[in-house]
Amino acid sequence: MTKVFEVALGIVTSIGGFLEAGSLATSAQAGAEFGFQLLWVIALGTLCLIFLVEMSGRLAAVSHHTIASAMRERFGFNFFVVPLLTVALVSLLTLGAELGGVCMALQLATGVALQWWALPVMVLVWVLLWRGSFGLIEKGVSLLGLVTVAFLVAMFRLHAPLGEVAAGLVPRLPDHDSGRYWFLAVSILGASLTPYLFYFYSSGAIEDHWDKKDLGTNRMVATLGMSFGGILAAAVLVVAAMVFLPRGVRIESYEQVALMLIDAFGHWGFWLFVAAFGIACLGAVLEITLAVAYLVAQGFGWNWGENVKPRDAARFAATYTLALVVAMLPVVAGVDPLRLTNVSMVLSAASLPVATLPFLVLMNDPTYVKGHANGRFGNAVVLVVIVLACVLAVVSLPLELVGG
Amino acid sequence: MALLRVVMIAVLLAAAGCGGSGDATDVRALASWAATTDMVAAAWTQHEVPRRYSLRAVGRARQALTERGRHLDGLPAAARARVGEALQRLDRAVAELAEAIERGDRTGAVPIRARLQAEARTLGEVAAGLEARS
Repeated sequence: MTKVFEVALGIVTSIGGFLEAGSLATSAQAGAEFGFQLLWVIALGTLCLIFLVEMSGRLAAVSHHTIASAMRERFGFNFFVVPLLTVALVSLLTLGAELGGVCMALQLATGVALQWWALPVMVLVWVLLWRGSFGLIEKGVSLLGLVTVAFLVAMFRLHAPLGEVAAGLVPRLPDHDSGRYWFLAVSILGASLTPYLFYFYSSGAIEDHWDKKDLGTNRMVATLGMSFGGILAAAVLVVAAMVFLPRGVRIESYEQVALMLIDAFGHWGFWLFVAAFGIACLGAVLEITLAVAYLVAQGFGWNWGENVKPRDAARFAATYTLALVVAMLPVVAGVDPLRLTNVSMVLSAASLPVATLPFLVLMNDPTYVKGHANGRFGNAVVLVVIVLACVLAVVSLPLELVGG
Repeated sequence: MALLRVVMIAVLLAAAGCGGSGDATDVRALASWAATTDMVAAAWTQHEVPRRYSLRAVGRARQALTERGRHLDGLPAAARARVGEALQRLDRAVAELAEAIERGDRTGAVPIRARLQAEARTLGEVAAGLEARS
């Protein structure tokens, strides 16, 4: 019974923690500009994410290593410093975008400019990390994140044409604005496969003391949790397609996205959006801040752990404090959070080979995963998707920056 | 080498897809902001969004309209004139909407919606014409 509860809680928290500024913004933009045409990218990204998350949990459960510590041990520090710096920099950028998302939710709710919220939000996150436990961060905020199910309810309240929605799952070439289409495709892939996600997951598995007995739980949580999460991202795209596309609204700012649930829920729609957006971004801020601190501390061999008192893991605590301060800077400087989100999602996609290929090597090394090495299908799916995402990112980012 | 070739082909394909649509994109963005302002007006008149949000959203729309309006030099003369006139009318309508929201005058905001919709339609037609030509 305890096991069933554990699995159910894992799945529920994965669903609640799935949406964040990146997946919400990119799905809304894709729906507003291309209707259901980009749904297949969400499906592809979710499939790849299921494999990556399952692998990171399996590595932790079998080898009792996080991805970062195993990578450092297997390849040496001189090699590891490349993924360390890449993932840390991309994660800091993503952290800035998510922090901007929380501040934007507060701006939507109060009318007070988002720059004013940067410091209070940073302090709130810091206090939660300083005083809270891993369980609070992982489960507490993710359970609140279940409010994002509102997007799925909205999809049904708007009577989405399920046949057309299903047709969007078939990959196709764009009928207009091909540069923009591929830019959004790679943004969606970057949002689905942000490297911090699976680095964080493996650290979480160590925090929760997983071992081989937890392999079944890991498989269920990765498969069902991420699948339902992917359905939520798809629901955002569908709702945006039904609300914005017929009116000719293209998303350039979060003020526009805030209108997307009003057709489905009326007065409550605005507040549901603000709550869903704010909580989703807050959850992401907590996870990314921890992920950066985990990565750096594991990379340098320091004491680490959210369940360890800060004085016993001082450099770990100092790292997350510094990460929060750095991430706050673009928000205070007035960088548009949506623009920051788009750029960070594309850079996430571009960084995937560096973050993922050494991880794939580990997952095929019997020294670490013993008899639990990857199958050919898992290797193939992850390889194809990350190479595709990286190539599209390298191509589309300069075009988007030049073309505005 | 194979990867490099794939990247180069993808660059050429994407560049071909992007080519020549810059001006139409700007006009499409103007139409989008006109439609956004209409959505905000509709939601505000029906008590679905708070006043402070509405003011900020309308302010953001004005800022975007001004910024996008600066990039119309590349348009053909006839289209530029039509977009310029539509933008002037749109700017007046958005300013009046902001004043109505500031006063809390929901009844006064209702007729502004028709003007916003008309300018969104005009700008959408110009963008469609430009897209058809490119």
